[in-house]
Amino acid sequence: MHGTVFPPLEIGEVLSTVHFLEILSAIFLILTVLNRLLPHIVSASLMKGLAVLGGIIVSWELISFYEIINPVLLPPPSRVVSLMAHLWSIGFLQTQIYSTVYKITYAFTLALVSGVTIGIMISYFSNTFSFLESFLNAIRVVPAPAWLALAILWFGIGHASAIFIIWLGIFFPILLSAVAGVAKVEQVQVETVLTFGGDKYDVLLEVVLPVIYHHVLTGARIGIGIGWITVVTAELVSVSANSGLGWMINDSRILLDITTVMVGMFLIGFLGIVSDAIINRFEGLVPGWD
Amino acid sequence: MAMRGETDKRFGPGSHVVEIKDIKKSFYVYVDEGQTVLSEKRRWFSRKKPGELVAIKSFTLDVDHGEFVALLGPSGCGKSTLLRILAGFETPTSGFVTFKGNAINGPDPQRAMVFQSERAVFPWLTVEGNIGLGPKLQGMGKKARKEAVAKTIELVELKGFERAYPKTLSGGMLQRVAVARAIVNHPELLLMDEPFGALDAQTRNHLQDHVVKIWQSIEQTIIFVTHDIEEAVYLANKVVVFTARPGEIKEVVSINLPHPRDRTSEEFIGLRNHCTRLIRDKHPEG
Ligand SMILES: Nc1ncnc2c1ncn2[C@@H]1O[C@H](COP(=O)(O)OP(=O)(O)OP(=O)(O)O)[C@@H](O)[C@H]1O
Ligand SMILES: [Mg+2]
Repeated sequence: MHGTVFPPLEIGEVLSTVHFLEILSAIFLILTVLNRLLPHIVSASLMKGLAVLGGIIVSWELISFYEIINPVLLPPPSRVVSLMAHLWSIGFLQTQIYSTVYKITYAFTLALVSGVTIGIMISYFSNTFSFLESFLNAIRVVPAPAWLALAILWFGIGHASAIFIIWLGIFFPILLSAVAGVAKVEQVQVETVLTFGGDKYDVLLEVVLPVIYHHVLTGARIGIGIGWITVVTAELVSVSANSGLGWMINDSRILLDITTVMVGMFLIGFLGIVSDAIINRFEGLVPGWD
Repeated sequence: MAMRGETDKRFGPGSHVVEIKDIKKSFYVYVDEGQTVLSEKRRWFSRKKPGELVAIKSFTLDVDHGEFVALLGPSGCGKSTLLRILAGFETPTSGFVTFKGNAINGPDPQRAMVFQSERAVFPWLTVEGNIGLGPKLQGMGKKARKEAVAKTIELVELKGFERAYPKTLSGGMLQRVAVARAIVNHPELLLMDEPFGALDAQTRNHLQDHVVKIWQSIEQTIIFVTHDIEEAVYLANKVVVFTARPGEIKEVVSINLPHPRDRTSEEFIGLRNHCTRLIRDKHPEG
């Protein structure tokens, strides 16, 4: 999207409030029917949740419509939806989503590998590497955004800096969970592998990794949450790369384009839920005692 | 006798599988004024003094091939410690222990261990996976492994549960998995540390019969730790009665009753009472 004037000034066709409420009612009607027909997919509790959400959206729409709050500061959902549809239709949103997902996936993978490796090193092979622990603890308490300046100096302005900052946010929860997991390894389990002629590396593969699996998953869920929080800060340094939802939010904020800010916020929230659900899928892969 | 080359040649059929010669095992712990053992680790601000805790002392025992030895004694007398020395997880403070004529240094697949804790069965592996762990670690091929595992599963009567995870099994079944996992490689020596301690009486009796069956079907030596007198007399042909800590041998009782044994027979009750008296001797107050 290089060279595009951002934010796109024309917003496309805007839904009228009446039209928007009509569509909402239609969706709600369809869901009610689905709830009757397929109660195990569209469950009653899901319906309750959606009803609350619907109520909030309708009130928000009306608040803007009657200008109870200045619609420039609180644009109505109909406007946000219209803008989102427009940005999607010109291919602009896809680019930003791709860019952000790319960075966060990259950072997450790095954090997972480095967090588990270093976590195992400082706890399982503890006598050799335990000196790292206090050093890492000191780094941990410094929030990732505080690294912005250093990141720019080290990696320049661009993707690498953003990935570095996101990585920092995800790395520590995973590291700590791996360390906590190793502490849960029981002596009998280690000795079992040793009696069968296994060595330290067999213990690592057969015992340590399965035991820390669930702990690391929990760490990964917390980590990805922090990752999404860090995206907006991290993409401050992506200016030259001119892409990402965080960058979109930052730039629109400066121009007081609240509608675009809201589109970005909505998408980050949505992608956050999706990423959490994906990690959750791995939960059942390795059984434990529960 | 401590020389390796020498003793190696002496080992043959009929000679001892395990030789325990005058061993002593002490742990270094920290004690307070009342001489109570507090912890293995000393905090830098604590005023507790380092002390020595003698778990086993002047212990000598030979075990022959095919014997079923029960180690019987009160809690804390060092039974597990002795078993851990035989498994190779601990080294005696003095004296020496040999296995087939060689000094024991470290664990060995030829000396398999059934741990007391049910956590020793890996919850992340199926019954099949747990039992196949030993063969896998010894680099047995997939096909041979499957065969060995299937055979053992049949032996411990767990057929139909190959794919089950430990958390779906009963306590008795878990212990059978633990036993199966230890015997699948046909170890020379099977070490069992109170394997049925946590089970109800009925399940325990059932599993005792299992162990006898396994012992009879696979030619192997078993050393079995228990503090249940009846269990020791029911299973073993040699019951080693410990004194209270520090554990020494009080008496080695030979049980020359054929299997299956009748718990209500006169000889059985007589031997059981004999062992009970031996154990009670040391605790006149209990
Ligand atoms: N690693 C250790 N460090 C310090 N003391 C130990 C250690 N292992 C065992 N001991 C001590 O040695 C003594 C014997 O312990 P052991 O576990 O062998 O007893 P046991 O006969 O198996 O008892 P139980 O029937 O209750 O299992 C105990 O007093 C115990 O506290
Ligand atoms: Mg014990």
